Amino acid sequence: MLEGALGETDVLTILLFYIPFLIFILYGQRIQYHMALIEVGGFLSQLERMKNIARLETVNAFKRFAKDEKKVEPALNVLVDSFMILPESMDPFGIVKKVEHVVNVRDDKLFNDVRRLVRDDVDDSQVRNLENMLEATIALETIYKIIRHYYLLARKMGSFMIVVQLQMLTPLVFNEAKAYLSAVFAFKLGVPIGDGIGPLVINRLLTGNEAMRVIAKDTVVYETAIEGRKAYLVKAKGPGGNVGKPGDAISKILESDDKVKVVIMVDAALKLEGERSGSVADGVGAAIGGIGVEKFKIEEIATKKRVPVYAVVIKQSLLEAISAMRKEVADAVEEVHKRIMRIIKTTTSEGDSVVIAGIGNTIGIP
Amino acid sequence: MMLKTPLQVTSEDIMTLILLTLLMAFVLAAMDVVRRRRRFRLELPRIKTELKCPSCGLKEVRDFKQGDYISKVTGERCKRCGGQLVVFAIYTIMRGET
Repeated sequence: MLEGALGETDVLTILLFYIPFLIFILYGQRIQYHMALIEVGGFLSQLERMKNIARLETVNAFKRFAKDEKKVEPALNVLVDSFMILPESMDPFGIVKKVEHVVNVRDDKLFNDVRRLVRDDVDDSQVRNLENMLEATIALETIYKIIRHYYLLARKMGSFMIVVQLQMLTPLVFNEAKAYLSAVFAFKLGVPIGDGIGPLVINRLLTGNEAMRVIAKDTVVYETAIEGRKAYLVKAKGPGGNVGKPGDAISKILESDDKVKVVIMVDAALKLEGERSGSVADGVGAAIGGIGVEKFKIEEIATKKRVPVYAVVIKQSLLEAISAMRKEVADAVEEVHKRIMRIIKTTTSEGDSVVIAGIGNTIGIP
Repeated sequence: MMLKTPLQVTSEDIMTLILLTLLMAFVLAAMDVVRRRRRFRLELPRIKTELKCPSCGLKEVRDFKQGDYISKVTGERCKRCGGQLVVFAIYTIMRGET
């Protein structure tokens, strides 16, 4: 029996007290590594479940419209693994045209592959919805594969650093995966998604009497009068899931009408945490996402013609942007209209022309 | 001569402390595991279709039906004036919201 400052203390108690400290000092990182590995493993299995749900929903949706149900699953297995190689950018001259070409080829290929799987009587809108559903499934598959790759790599190498980086990214990746899974259900039902707020704003500006014409691939323009100005209302062709080619449409309008004094772009924008979903903000510049080709075209023509580009954005999270539209976002339309009217009145005069482009996926919005 | 203080700690006290610490660590770890496992629940939102009568402006909200899209003339009649209802908005309401 030892007697010290702590009173009567036996050897076993001392060992029980100090051994954990020694273990944590010597093996603390290994313990953390294993705990992080267990956490990432759990996340990976949740991701796998999400991916399987998305795949199952997609297969079932395709089977409803398929020419031959037996061909659906093998064909989707091939499509889910398909990829796109972006052009070399070592010499950036002419890169936009090259990127556009590759993206166009990829879009056409995916659309035609889906078209071939479904019956001939299925309309293009439905084909677009199936294509969008497939794209969301591909995104989920890709996320799952990347996370699995690093998880297995970390396990194989016993790397604490890799697994800790994965652990830190887990909440962000998980939110993204949840967003893509929600998108699968939204595209399955054909409901407008948060990103469709731009096309919805255009739709609500229409009275039903305007002449509509296709101005670019999957993109339509309506001509109407707003406050004594000629207004070109641009949006993707709905109600199938489509983003169209607003860059081409705006270029054509600006090339053909010298009276255009302003381009107003309406789009969904990612909100920062703490910002209210559906809040509206306006500014200058081309409000359009994507790979950058359409944005480049709009900036190019606007600079050439010296036409100012204004942007009105509706804030929402990534999850809200690609899943069924939230009420708060849908309710923002009136505020957006007020901002558009204010921009038109302050920057143009009667007799001028204006372009209002509703950017985003037009699913559920004709 | 040893001084005896009223706060003398015995080995039994240290054992109890160690056991309590271990128990707390176990409970916290178990709570953490349960929290992480509960994180993903497939929750489908309630989708509503808002219909509007172009003649009298009456608005009506019902559950979304597959095939609904904005501006679609649904064939449903306005309860006030008998006009054809048109889909005005389609949106989700999260569970728990009215």
